[in-house]
Amino acid sequence: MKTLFYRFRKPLLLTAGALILFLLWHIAAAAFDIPLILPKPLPVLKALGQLLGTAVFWKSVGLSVLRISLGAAAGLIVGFLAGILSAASDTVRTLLSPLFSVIRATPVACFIILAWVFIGSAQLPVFIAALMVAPVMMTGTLTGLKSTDGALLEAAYLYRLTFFQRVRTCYLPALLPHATAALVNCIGLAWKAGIAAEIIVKTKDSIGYAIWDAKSWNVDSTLLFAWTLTVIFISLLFEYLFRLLLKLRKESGNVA
Amino acid sequence: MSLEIHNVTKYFGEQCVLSDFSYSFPDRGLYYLTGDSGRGKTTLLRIIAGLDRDFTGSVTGNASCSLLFQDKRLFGNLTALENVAIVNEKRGCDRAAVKEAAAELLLSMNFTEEDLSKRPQALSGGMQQRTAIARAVFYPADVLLLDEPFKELDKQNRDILSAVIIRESEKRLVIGVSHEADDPARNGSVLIPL
Repeated sequence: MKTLFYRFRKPLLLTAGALILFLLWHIAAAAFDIPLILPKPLPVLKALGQLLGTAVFWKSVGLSVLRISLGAAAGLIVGFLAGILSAASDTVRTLLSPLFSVIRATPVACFIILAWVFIGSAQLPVFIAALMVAPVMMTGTLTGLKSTDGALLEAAYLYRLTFFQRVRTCYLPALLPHATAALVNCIGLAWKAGIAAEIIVKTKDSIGYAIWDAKSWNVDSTLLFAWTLTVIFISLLFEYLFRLLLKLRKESGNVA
Repeated sequence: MSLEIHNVTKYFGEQCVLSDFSYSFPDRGLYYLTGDSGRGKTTLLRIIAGLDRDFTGSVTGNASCSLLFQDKRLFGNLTALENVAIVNEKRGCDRAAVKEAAAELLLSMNFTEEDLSKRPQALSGGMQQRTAIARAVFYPADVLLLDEPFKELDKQNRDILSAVIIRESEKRLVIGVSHEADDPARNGSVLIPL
């Protein structure tokens, strides 16, 4: 029994943590007793169940995932390239530093409002997701490349290894842990920023629009919470899938 | 290709580790740099290898060098076989033939077939040292520099490696550094006190 518990310790603790959250939510909702503001978990789960059976739900989820994924992918590529260039050249790093510092320091809502002037509401979540992800990926790439073992690089130089051999033996092993950590952060960040953009600019056929609609038009907190749960589930699902992919690649020996 | 060292002097800050050192090496043979710790043996190997250019004097001969680093410096994400083969896998080469030759060398150095596919973290200290030596030996350079090659090796492996080093010294110049007087390869080598 004890062995069985230790084997499934992590998933059991995670489930227990989630159940405690739901219990606290239920207690708070019961104590507050105004379902219009704070509904109980069960009606929310029921509303979510009903949403799952509608075409609007899947269309909104699909388009939101598509937009935010596109933005995140673009941000990751830009951040990765900026990280490589910054690691290769102090001049580039210094030149890019103010831009990325401004992006990091500015609240996402400000960017959404500012960018809305120039970009349509359908494309804005893509842009915002990219904007939030790029500095994180840039820092992860830069830190990883800067942590490359100088002693290994010296060995690679001595043995006249080719550029690709040096990337494989020296840079990738240093880069991967940092880039992976940045990627996991980016998934959550892109998702949160993208949904925030959808809510503020009311992007048609999106989760953000559904949340705004539930809050402002229908004043249906149960529906609002159901959509919020959807956002959380999808974000966790992406993170889980990414970690699973990394684990599988590591087990197959493809990751340094 | 002979190697000429002229009046090499090296300072680390205020401390002089090599003072006006000169030596003329032939194109093959086995030479050992001897002396107490801090006499500049490793520094001289690094200067010969072209890894340290901050010195006065000159090293001439245009010889290409392979070096066994004291701290091994194996690539952690490659297997033992890949660590050795990679130094010879240049553009356009027959990779399968290179791998086969690398495997042959490692097997001759007391490795098993199973050991070849292990990464450095999964190898003992002695096996890591033998992998590093195999890599240095496998690199086709004019000069083979060995910084404490017998470190962490037992008697059986010392004898095996000694034979490898002596064989290499018949084909090219081998310069070693060792603190241990019972280093089997030192027998018959030219000792150069520093």
